[in-house]
Amino acid sequence: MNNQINHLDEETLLWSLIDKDSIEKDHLKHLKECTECQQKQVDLNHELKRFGCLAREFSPTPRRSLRPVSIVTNHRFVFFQLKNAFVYTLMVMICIGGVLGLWPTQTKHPDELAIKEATQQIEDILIQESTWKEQNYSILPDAFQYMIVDEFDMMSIPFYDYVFPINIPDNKNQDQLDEQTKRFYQQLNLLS
Amino acid sequence: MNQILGWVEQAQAGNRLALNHLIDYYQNDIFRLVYYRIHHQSEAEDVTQDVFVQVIKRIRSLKDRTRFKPWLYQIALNRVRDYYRKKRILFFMGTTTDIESDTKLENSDETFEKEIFKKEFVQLLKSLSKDFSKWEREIFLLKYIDDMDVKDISQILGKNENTVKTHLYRAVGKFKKHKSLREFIQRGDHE
Repeated sequence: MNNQINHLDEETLLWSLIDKDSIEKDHLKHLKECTECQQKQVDLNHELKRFGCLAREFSPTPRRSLRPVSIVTNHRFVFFQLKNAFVYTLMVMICIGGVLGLWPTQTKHPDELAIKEATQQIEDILIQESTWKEQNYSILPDAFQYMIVDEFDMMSIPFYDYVFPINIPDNKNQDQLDEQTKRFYQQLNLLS
Repeated sequence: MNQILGWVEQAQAGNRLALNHLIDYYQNDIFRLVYYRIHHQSEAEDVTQDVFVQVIKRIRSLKDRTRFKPWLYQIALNRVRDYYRKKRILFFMGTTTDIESDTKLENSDETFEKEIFKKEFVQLLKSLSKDFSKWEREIFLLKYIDDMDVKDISQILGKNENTVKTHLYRAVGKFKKHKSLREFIQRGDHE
């Protein structure tokens, strides 16, 4: 009779719903005998179950098949594998080389251009020199080739005029010259 | 149950057909689990598909075949967690506006009254979820929507059974105090 009066409190009623073993024996005994407490428990349990049913009922269904289309392989990428070690080492070396500027990937355009220009200039000079040598062949050794001049114009050098004065003969006196002197004058284009 | 165990065994041996049976069997349950945590139809479908991709990848690693269901639900919850993590990152990066919910009803042949009823339920469920803590919500949904027992829930969430019971006790207490939801359920009973 006493059990009927002291109904289970909310907390105990909730615990009885979740875990019957957790409530005291007296409370359990009361629950078995008290229809009012039983009804409260049943109502709450029913509401919770109904809640679940409604949720399942109102949940939409998938609009498409959710089977994965492609077959997934069981392969997993393992970063630290021995066969990858070489590749990683190479990558690290390339990176370090790149940072330190050891690889030709770091272009040196200005220097290359300067070298190219200088090479071209040297080649031009060498061509000019060889052309000049061809035009002004001399029996002198190479070291003295620079001494060669295109045309030795004796008349244009005052010093030679002074040392070797040349008297240009008149037309009248040309006949009097001997053959050797004539030839010499003709070579110098002094004779008309 | 034996049939499911058989499918799991065959799937672990590489039988694609058994795997498809398992996927078809649990497809709706997993989709529902995901949907009530994301509230977006198409995204829930994508996440569910992703769950099954993970199942295919990892099924060989499952040692105790009897634990297939909790194992599957565990993968699903992890995927949901990943989904929110990804969304949050995208949100902070400014590439997405917000985690929007989609409560549109897809079946046009349903009566207007039922649609209203459904929408109201979803709103009340969201309102109830706001009262819950993270664990209370998870445990309450697993217990009453996904129909899992405390033992399975504790395995899925990796928590002690007593901890699960305590969270469940608090969640049911909050449910009891949510008058509008209870009225809605009682109204639904009478209709």
